[in-house]
Amino acid sequence: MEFVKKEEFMIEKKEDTSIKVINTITMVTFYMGDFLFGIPASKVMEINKEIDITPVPLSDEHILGIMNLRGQIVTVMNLAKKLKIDLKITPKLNLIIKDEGEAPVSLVIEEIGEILEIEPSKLERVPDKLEGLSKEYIKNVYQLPDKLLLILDIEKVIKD
Amino acid sequence: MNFDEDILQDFLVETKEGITRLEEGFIELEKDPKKVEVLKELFRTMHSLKGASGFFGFKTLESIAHFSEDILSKLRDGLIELEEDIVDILLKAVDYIKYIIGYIEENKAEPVEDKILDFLVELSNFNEKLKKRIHEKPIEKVLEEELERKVEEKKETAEEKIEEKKEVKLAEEIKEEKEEIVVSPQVELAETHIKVDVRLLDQLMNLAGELVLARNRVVQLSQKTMDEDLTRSVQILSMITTEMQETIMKTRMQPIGSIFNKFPRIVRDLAKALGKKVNLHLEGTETELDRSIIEAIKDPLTHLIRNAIDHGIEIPSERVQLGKPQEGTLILRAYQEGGQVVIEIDDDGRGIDIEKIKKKALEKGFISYEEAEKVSEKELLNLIFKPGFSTTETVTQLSGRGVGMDVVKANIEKLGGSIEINTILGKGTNVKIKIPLTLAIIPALIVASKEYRYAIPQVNLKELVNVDPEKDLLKVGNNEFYRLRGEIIPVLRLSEVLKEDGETKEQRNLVILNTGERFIGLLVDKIFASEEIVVKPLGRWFKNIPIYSGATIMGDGKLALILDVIGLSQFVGISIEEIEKKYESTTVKIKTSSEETIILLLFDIGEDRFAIPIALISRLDKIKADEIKISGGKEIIIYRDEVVPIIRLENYIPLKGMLSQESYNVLFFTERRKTCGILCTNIVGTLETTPEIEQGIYNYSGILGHKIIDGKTVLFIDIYKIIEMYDPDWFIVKVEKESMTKRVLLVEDSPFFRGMIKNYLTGVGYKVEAVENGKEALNKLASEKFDLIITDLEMPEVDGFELIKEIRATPDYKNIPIIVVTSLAGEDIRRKVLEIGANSYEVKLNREKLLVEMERLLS
Repeated sequence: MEFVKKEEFMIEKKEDTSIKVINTITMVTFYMGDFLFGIPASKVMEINKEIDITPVPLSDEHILGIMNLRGQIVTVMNLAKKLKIDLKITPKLNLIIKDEGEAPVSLVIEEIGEILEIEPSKLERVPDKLEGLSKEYIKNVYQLPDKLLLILDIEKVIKD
Repeated sequence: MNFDEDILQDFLVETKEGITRLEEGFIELEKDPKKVEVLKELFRTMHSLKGASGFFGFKTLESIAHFSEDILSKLRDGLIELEEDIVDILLKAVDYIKYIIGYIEENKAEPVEDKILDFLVELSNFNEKLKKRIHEKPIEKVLEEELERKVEEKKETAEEKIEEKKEVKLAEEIKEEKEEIVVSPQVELAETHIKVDVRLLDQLMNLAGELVLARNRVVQLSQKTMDEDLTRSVQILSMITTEMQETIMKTRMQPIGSIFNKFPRIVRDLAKALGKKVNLHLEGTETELDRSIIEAIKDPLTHLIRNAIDHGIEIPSERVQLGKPQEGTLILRAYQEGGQVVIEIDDDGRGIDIEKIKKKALEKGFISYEEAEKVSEKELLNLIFKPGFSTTETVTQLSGRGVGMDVVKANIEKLGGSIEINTILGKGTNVKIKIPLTLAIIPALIVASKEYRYAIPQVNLKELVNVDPEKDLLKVGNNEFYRLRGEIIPVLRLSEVLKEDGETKEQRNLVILNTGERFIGLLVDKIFASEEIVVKPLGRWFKNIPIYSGATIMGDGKLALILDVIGLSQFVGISIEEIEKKYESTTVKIKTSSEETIILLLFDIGEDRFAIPIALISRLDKIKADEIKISGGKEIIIYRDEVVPIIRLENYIPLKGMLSQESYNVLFFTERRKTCGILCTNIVGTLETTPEIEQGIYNYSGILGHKIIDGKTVLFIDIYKIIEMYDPDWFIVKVEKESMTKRVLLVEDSPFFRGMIKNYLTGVGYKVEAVENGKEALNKLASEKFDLIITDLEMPEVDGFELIKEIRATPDYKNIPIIVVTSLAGEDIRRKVLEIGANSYEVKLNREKLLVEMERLLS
């Protein structure tokens, strides 16, 4: 069940214009503490401010609970806990991720960043010196002029 | 159909010509696919063929021609391009037409062959596929083509008329009829039914749910504004929403016939394999159920039908001998009943032999010999659903090894349904399955723990009890129990199961749940109303938490988790065993009896206070002094059309007695349909306390002992003794001559119960020896002979469990019947004591039943 129309994000348009030039990937970026993360825009369903989460007692620590997204039960994940980020994070937004064949999943994030076009050829391996979070969920890194973008292995995050 | 030989001959000739034209035409087309003239010619030929074969009633031929014509018309109208696969299938169609015509020429009838039917299906599917190809085209183009087509069509009809005129020569008189036949019913079917992806329906269902929520909010807002026009429009909106929701739900419904129709084949094959004759009747195939349930019910039903044929219906020769028709009847029936669908499987076979089940149950140790005597037919039948139980002596390949029925039951219960068996030996068996109409919407009770709400499916609900946790719950270690009408039920606190921190408010709401196996009590903070909820699945992150079965969206848009009662019961699983262990172990418990409590009724006579177990009193009432009459030298009252003798305690126990009052309270005591009343000044109230009493100060007959309660001495009266003093013949109803001299060993640590039981047993003529615990009992047994042993369970030194085991292990006493009396009424314990060798199990204060049991065991 996909709410195709809700993807009004500029994702589609950008892709259209970029096709002519180089083959790039559109990334939705967001902040958690000092870290800047990226998720392919094609995976993102919507970003949602309403945080009315019903806790599910006895569930895993990194599960915050469930929420009602237009009649669908969406599982809400505490991404900071999942990635073991030892910074104090104040969740403000729900980043709703599509999950093939299942109900969507929400990751609570602190702040949304820009929508970026990245060139796949410039993706780099995760450096060893990256610290302060669990590296197993980071697929690649991408050097931005002023910052390092951490590309999240979103499949792994939600399937684990 | 009877038709003129000549006309048929004409038809054949014309058709053969047509076939030649068709073959030539297709080959020409392959060279030049755009040749519209050729297409038109082909279409016309096929059209005439269709009409003529319809007229002769050659259905298959007509259908092949119909589909081919349909494809050709699309080609002609340019809706599809001529591609290789289209030519292939059309040529194949011509081949079949040729074959059929050849057959008709010889046999004057159409061939009935599977391969032709298969091809017809292929052709029909292909036609459907082509329709999809058309839909993929941009709309504008189709519209343009549509216009063109209309122009073409006008020409077409003109041409057709000419064509028809030729045919008129052949069959002038039946022309009208022919035209009717041309309009094949299949065409209509294709137009009124479409295939829809189930996921689309699910999504519609979700959206409808959302709409309901949005509507609810609008309704609330409109009530605030009090605008008349708005209110009216909102009402209409509300109505439409409800109707829409119901309609959408209907889209998910399917007739149960879709699975019922598979059974004739299964039944036929199975009956044949077993050498039986079975006539299957399907009833109520139009009954509708949610599609998810239809899917899930198929396997259990198949199993039950197999059972009915394999175990139920006899072989024909046996049936004839029994005076039954050779052919067995199996009825599969579905109907709606109060929001549920009932499916019955009814056979007229040999029925289920209850005695056989009993035998088997004993052999396999499902029940003890003692239980076997008391167990009801229903309970025995239910054993069929236990894992590892099968009644056929020779296990057949077809119904398997009896692994099925427990799985059948589990599957049906998973759907929120129930299963019930009724059987008459020699006459047949009826299996009744009740299942909800839909899994998606179920009635549930909404409860709360802290500020969050939870839903409990109504099917698991037994009753609601308001309790005072401090007083009404029994504590054993960390486990709590509640006594519901004698049965001990483990209690869970929802907030503890959910491991919620923070202060717990006083929880007074106990929800009694039925897990199918047993009852459990769930203590919750709050109980709301019962609601229809839409069940939504939880994500995979919650699959390992057994206590949830889903979530639902409440009217205010907030979520509530749905509790899984079976999952919840796992939280008590360990503690039940623990409590049993506790009863078994000999090392702990010295003051066991202190945990035993009884509810006492306190009452005053003059200045003296008395206590009596409330369980012994059948009624309490107030009477006026002038209602007391003297009859035959005794005081009586007329109470509910019955003469009830009145007893004044002061006549039998040295008391000050009471002054005459305007009205009195009466305690009624009823046994074996005889009632007497005890007069008292006033009722003080009830008190739950341990049965420990002190003895020695008030050594009167009729007083068991005393206890200081609230600073006042309370005398515990022995009602049996007092009634006996009033009328020595009161209890002597039908005590048999023999048992008068029987010796009974009573093992009971509580002096209160010991005294009372001893008194009433002596009263009816038994010789009673009373001891305080198991150890003393064993000593007594070593030196004296007894006909019967009555024992308590909770006792210091050697408890009841140990005692029974010891007795049963000693050859000299192992045949002495044992009755266990206890205040711990509970199915688990009952089973336990019967297992270790007790003959009977009674509640202490039930004198009447105990006496009956004694008589039974001593006779």
